[in-house]
Amino acid sequence: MELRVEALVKRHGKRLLFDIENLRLPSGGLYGLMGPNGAGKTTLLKMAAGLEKPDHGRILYDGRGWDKGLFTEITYLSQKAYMMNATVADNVAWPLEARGVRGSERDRRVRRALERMEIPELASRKATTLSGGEAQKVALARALVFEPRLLLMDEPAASLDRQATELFESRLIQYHRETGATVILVTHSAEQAQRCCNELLWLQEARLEISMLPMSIDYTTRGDGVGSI
Amino acid sequence: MDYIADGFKAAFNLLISMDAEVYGVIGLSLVVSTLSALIAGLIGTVLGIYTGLKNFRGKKFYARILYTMMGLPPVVVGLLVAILLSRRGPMGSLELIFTPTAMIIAQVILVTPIVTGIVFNVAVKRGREVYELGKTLGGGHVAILGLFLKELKAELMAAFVTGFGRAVSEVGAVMIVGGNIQGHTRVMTTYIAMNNSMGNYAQSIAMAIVLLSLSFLANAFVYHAAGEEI
Repeated sequence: MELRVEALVKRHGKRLLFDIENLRLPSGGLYGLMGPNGAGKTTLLKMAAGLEKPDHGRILYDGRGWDKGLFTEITYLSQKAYMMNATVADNVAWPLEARGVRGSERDRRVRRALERMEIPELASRKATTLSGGEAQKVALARALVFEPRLLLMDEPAASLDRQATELFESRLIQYHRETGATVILVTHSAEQAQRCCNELLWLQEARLEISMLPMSIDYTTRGDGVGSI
Repeated sequence: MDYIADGFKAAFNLLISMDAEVYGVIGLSLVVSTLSALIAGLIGTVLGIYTGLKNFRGKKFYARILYTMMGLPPVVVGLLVAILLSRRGPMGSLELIFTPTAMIIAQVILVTPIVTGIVFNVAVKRGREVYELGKTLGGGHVAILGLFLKELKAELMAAFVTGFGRAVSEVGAVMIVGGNIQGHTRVMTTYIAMNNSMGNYAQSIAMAIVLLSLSFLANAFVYHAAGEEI
């Protein structure tokens, strides 16, 4: 999904959070969004997800303005994912059921999503009892199960250990390659941006700049499932 | 002190004697309070969720007013409803004064702010998170409402129980608009108040035991239904 930002302005009280004149993010990119704390990265991401409104300007999705139907093509994953008070399988099944996918097809896709994140054994666990790392894996499985065309991720690996982070990144890259979805990943880690992303968005002092990452990235999957640079 | 013990003995005998008046009073109380709590629960849940999730100008002031209304004095509500429904009042032609319907109206006015306030508070604190999750996973209005009710089931049940408790235990409003008419508008609280003033402690104690037991059972049932999360 292509994103086009037009004269986007957002203020928090009197403070100008960002003022982005024009920006085009071609479809199929995996973009890292970086910037200092409080620069407005989360607000910008939530705006792209349709959860916040700009004071001025707009974002176009494949050339069309925001409409509620876009919620079925976009997903947003926060730093600390909310787990529904249900089993892990039910959590992952929810977006499918909301789209009318039921029965064996739903079960098959849930199983596959959990296997992809290497957590099939958690299927019957109550999601609210999971550790932070397990919950983030479930959240990614839940976000990817309905194959969104735009994936907006706000520091999704912030609470993960190294091993879980590697798995998380490899699955994200794999999904991106398989589906051609556009991904925006907010991160504070330059290393993570280099491992995962092909372009970097830098938000600072209300301006957003886009640049190619200095290192070329080869997403060839290594033996351990982690994309190498 | 003997009269207290005698009161309890007499209360027990009264309860097992299946006294028609006593059980009629209990039945009417349950009907009036349950209907009031259900109507107030429905209005309060919708209003609480909507205003809790919506960002609007003056929301803080709205919250202050709402929290103030949660403590509405029953006699004041009773008085207002009585003025509205009395024969010479603006709605006198409906001839509802001193009927169970008038009691339900008064209790709905009393209980709705309580349910709304609790649900509003829940929606402000946790609702946005649930709403955003439902939205970003592509849920429609119905799916998100279902998710909301499921996720906040325990809190919503607690709001309903609190509302029911308030309705079944208040005496001021139902006394004024119902009139405590025997066999018509007499409920547990007015029965207790009347018998206490007449010195009939057995009847008062018997009904107090029933009232407490019903409150306990209602709480136990609702919390069991909510999965005993609280």
